[in-house]
Amino acid sequence: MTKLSNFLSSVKLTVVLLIVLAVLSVVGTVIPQQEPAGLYERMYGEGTASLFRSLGFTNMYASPLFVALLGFLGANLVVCSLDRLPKTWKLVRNRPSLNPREYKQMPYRREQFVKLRNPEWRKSLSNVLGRLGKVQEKEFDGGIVYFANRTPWVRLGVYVVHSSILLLFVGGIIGAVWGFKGHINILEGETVDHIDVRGRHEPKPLDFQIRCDDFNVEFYDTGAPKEFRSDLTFLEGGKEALSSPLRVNHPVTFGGITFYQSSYGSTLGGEVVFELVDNQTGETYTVKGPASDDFSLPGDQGGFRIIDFQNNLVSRGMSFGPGVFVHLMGTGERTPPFWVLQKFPQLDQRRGGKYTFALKSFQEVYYTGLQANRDPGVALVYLGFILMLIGFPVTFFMSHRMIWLQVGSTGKNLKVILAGTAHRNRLAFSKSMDGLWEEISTALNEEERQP
Amino acid sequence: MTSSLALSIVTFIYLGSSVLYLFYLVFRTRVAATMGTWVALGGFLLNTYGIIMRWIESYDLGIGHAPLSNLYESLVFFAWTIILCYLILERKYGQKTVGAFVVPFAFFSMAYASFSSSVDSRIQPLIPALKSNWLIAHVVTCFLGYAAFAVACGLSVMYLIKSKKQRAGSDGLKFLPDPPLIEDVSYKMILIGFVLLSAGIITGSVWAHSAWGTYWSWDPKETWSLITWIVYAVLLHARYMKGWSGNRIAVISIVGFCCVLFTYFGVNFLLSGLHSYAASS
Repeated sequence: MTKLSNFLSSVKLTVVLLIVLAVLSVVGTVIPQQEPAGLYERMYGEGTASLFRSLGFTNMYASPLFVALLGFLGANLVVCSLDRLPKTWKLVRNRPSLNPREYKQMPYRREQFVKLRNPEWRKSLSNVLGRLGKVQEKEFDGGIVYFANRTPWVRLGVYVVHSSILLLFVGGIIGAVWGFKGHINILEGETVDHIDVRGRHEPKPLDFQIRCDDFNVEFYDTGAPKEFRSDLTFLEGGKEALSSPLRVNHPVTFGGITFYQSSYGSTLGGEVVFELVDNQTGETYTVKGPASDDFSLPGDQGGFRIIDFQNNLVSRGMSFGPGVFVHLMGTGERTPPFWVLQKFPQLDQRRGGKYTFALKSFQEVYYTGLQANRDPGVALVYLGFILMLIGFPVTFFMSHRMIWLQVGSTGKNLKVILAGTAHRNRLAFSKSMDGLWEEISTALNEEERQP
Repeated sequence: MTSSLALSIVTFIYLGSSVLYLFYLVFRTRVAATMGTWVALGGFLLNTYGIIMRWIESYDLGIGHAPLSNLYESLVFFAWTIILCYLILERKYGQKTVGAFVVPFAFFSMAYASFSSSVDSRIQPLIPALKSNWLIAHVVTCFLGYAAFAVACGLSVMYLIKSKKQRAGSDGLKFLPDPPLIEDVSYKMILIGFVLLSAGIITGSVWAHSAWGTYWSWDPKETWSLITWIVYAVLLHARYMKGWSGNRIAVISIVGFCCVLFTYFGVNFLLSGLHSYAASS
């Protein structure tokens, strides 16, 4: 047991775990993550691909290995901190005495005789030492000892940082177990009562409905989107419970689920009109129908179907405007699906099919893409963030300092001893002690002010 | 003067300053170091002017936003933070030899911004996800942190050179600061960088949560910033708990800065993800 806890509490383990996690993370950024199966076989070959899959490298950050190492790191953090905390706590609670033995062997120590010119030296000294905060005093035969115990609690800073990291872990676990990440596309005017949740096959029903009253997108001259927003209404039992606009970076929470404006798109709605030219006879036909139905070719020689729509097809960095992806059926021709572009009616001629397709008109309906998440762990994660940002400056830039000043009278002179220690950043501490020494000798040397 | 002209000139000023500091390092001509400082300060002021002008110009174009939104602007800001960091350090410690190890980083950043054909220097409008108050907090903390790491890296290189010479028994390079001082300052820069990097990751995380609903999604840039964070965390634990110092710490510091550079550039060009808008095209 002690062996195990010794192992778990070692800093060596921390460092090794951190390095292994870093290396695995690098691997996770080099190997594409969560791609469809075939891709890995094509990229790496059968053997390597199946090795990667069994090691979990194709979904690294959720792989048993990675999660186990994170768990290990968490355990290491807990054991390590519990191991050291009692000792640190003692140092924080410790009240060093004003006995000369206590400061005999401090890293900083300066001893000197100073000529006494200032009869009010005690008052001057307490002015100087006042800057150090709470100062204890103890009189002894012909002299006095001052002691300042500065910010002993900063020794706890590192525990604040470590607990902040544990909070991130716990928050992450809570989010992963009890939270979900969902997505839903809603057409303008449509009402939905479910969302699609990542990792679940059937949609997740909601106990309320969401209606998209309106969707708007504005563009810059460059064609990049400037802003998009949806006007949403949440309905409970058929009654409107909340109407709210939803914009990027401004999420809305309803019924415990937070909605984010994440994407938008358009799809075909209503009637689509094609013009077909028979390449042999030159005859022109008009074919129209609802976008989601099958279309028939002239003379009932098979038909076609629209399997995709882009309001601006982009290929090799060029944009070609709106187009539909058409799949021919039952024509005897073995043609792969092809694009029919509105702006380039002649283009389809090159395909060399029986007909040349041209897209005459269509109706476009916008849909809004919402991210719909529940994450009960976020509060803990944010608490972790705050603690970390408080803990770091305390841990790195503050130190526990103990300063003793002994002033003893030996007739005309004063024997002054300044001693102290800092638990961190001794270089800066000894500089500041030199400064303090200067102030002290000035205070002791001050002539009595003339009225 | 337009921002792009000013910033082009800044590139050459930083080059001039680097050359002066290097000249001082090689020939120990005191006046070269003094000039190096003044030239760097002049470049810094013009750099500041360029950033402010670019900010104003973006408003004149009707797409006003802080100039921290694409690769070009971040490179310009990176150079600015490096020089800021360095000038404060020089003022505090008076070690002008450090300039030769740090100022060139600012020059490279500006040169890359100005001359690389893959860096678009046009002022672009902000896509909706970037329209957030977190943008400024995130970019400023990250790049101040990167600058601190850049300075620490320069100091670590200096440390390795100096300690190698010393071990070889040579008393050359005497004019370089003592290894303990270099180590101390470098360590301080690493602490500052580490806190700022943490703050940068946290602000980015909070921002991502408000934009996409996930504070962490293991996108390559996020992952690489975490890798960088881990490298420096290892450095701190090795030093605090295992008493590592000297060359070993200097080497980790250089490795850490390589990770910074990969997080910054490598991810944009070699890997893809959420931060693709920060890439050039």
